[in-house]
Order: sequence, then structure tokens, then C-alpha cells
Amino acid sequence: MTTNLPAIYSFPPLYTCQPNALIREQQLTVWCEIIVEFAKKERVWCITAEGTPAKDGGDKQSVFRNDVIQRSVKSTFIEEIWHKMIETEKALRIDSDSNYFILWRSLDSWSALILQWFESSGKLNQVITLYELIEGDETLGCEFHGMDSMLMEKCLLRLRERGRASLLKDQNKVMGVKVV
Amino acid sequence: MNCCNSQRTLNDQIQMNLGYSALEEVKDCRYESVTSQLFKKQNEEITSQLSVFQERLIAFAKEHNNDLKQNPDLKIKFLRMCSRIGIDPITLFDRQRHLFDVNDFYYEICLKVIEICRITKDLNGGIISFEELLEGFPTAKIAMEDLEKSVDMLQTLNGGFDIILIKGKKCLRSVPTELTSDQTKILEVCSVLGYASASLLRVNLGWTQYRSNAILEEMVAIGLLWIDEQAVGETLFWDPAWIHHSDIGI
Repeated sequence: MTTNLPAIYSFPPLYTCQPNALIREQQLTVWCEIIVEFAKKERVWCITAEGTPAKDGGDKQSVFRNDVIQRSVKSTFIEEIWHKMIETEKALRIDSDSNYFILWRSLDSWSALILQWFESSGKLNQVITLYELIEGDETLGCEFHGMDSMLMEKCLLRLRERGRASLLKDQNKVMGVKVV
Repeated sequence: MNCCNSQRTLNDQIQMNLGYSALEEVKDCRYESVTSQLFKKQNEEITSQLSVFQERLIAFAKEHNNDLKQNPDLKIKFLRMCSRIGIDPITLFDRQRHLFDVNDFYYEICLKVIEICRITKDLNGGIISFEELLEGFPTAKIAMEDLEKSVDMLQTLNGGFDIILIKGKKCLRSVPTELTSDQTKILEVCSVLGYASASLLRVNLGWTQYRSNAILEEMVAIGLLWIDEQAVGETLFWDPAWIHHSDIGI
């Protein structure tokens, strides 16, 4: 896991909350970058508060633990990191459980990307199911392929706010979308 | 003026004793004026020679402008030659500015150096090694000599930037605080393993626990070191310059 992350990930004091306020600020920024980088490289959409990918079961290692140098981040400091993540809009807290969506693109940017796909592939004015959009063959090369369905819903809601999409719901769950 | 003065005294002397010695004085005066004239002539010649040489250098630089720009090796040789005959190459370039990008090139490096210092200031407390600075130029082809030259140019900004030596390695300090000799020693210890600790300082420098802790904590306060509380045994104080070594593994 360390191979893909910046060199500072192997710097032992990164795992201790720094007493110097200026340095701590920098440290938090570095952590945010690491989490985003980690999520982007591994294509993880949703991370638990402890730092493990939410969907792949419990076998994956936490981003906050580095066994190579035997350091891990204390839980109080992890909270501070998440706080910073939300503050800078790089993460989105999921209400139902204590997991977080990692946004390596902003919601607006994601929705713009999806809209672009609709426009360029001629799917305007058609009903597309959420499953097609996420898992379908036609979005295979797209960056949003395989996206968490709840996150996709949030992106599509953005499109609806702009008056570009109408959502089809079944039992309070979004099933399909029509983009105009 | 001198000549006039001596002339007057000479007349007095001639009136006093019309002898050989008086004539000798006159001769001396003539010799003096002749030698000074000779020197003057020589001086003029040398200055004109120098200016000719400067022009030749300019002509050379004009001709090989692109080579100078692209080939750091050639540029270093060129600059070395300039400095040997006592011409600051940078003033040389200023004459026909549009011809030489070399100077602009240095200004660019200066700007970049300042930028890197600002960006990394919170990370390393304002001290950055030259190697690390050089890594900040991934795209442009820049030799260490260019970097050093640019840092020298930064000195004209009057303070703010200072070169310090840590274990023989050059570092650039971009914050106004001076490093005390104790702090420098700690940074030297850090350059071996990446960190310093109270026991390490006791063994290597013979410092007491109090002295070590006081200085280490002060250095954390000004942002030169990072604390690591998860090491076995005692608290470690890491030098952020070590971040780039972390890649290689500890």
C-alpha cells in the first residue's frame, strides 16, 4: 500500500499529533492528500471512520496504520483529520453509519462528468437505470464506473437541482434517471 | 600639483646651490612624469584590451546563445572564464538583454527557489537542503552550480535567505531566525538517522537530559523538528528533511 503513496507516508512523526499549530495544520493537509490519493488509486468510494475501505470486508488494512514503520494514528487525531476532510469538502459523512465518501472530485465536478457522458453518448431523453450507469458496459471507461450507488444518487440530485435530470423512484430508492 | 610644488622648491634650491644635485632633482621630476605617463598608457591599453575581451565574450555568447541556454556544462565553463578575468557574467549579460536568456534563466530559478521555500516552510520550519531544492525543478535542466548562483543572487534582497552548513551539506534558511550552535548540532545528529533524542544526544554530545529536552522542545516550537511519540523507549524528534529518505526505507 505504501508504494503508491507519497514519501511522507513513511515518515514516523506523521502519526503523532504535532504540538506546533502551524505544523499540525500542514500535517492535516498532508493526511487529507494521502486519504484522497489512497481512495483514488485503490478506487475506494467509501471509507470507514477507522480508515478501512467500507465495502471490501474487514481484511484490508487501515490507511491510518503503517506496519512497515510500526506507527498508527490515535483515534482522537483521526477525528481531527476527518473534521478537516469535511471542512475542505474532500469527504462526505454518510448519515446512516459512520462511514465517509471520499471525493477526489467535488460533487459538482462528478455531476458535470456524468452529464457529459449523457451528452456525448446520445442518451439524452432516455431512461437509464442506476445500475446501467454504474455497472453497465457503456460506462466502462468512465471515471465514475463502479461508483457507490448512494454517491451516484447525490451527484444526480445535483443535476436535478440544475433542472437537467428527473429521477425515477421506487420505494424511496432511486432506480433510474432521465437527463434532458 | 605635486609637480608644481616640487618645481617651486626646486627654484629655491637652484638659487641656493647651483650644483649637480639641483640638476638631479629636475631629472627625478621628469622621470616621475614619464613613468606615470607610461603607467597611464599601460592602464589604458589594459582597459581597452579588457573591453575588447568583453566584446569578444559578448560576441561569443551571442553566437552560442542557444547552446549556453541549453547546455549547463558549457554555461559553467563560460561563467568560470568570466569570473577568472574579473567580470561578473550577470552584468555582462545585461548590456544586450534581449540576446541573453541566461540572466532571465537565473531570475526564474530565484523565483522558483523562493516559491519552494514558501511552500515547504510549514513542513520544515524554513530550512531546506540544496538537494531538496534541486528536486523542486523536475522539468527544467538545472545543475547545482546554477542553483548556487541563483541563491547568491538572492543575497541582494538583504537578508531573508541565508546559507548554512549542516554536516558539510549546504542548506538554505528562508526564515529570519538564526540557528544557535546547539540547534545546528542537533540537525547534524539528525542527518545521520533522521531523528535525535535525549539519549542519543547524551551518548554523542554528552548533554544532560535537561539541556537536550529544552533545546529539542524549542526546536519543535519553531517548527524545525517533528515529535514522534510512538517509538520504543523514548520520544524521538525527527528532521523533516528526512521525509525524502523515507522512500528508501528505514
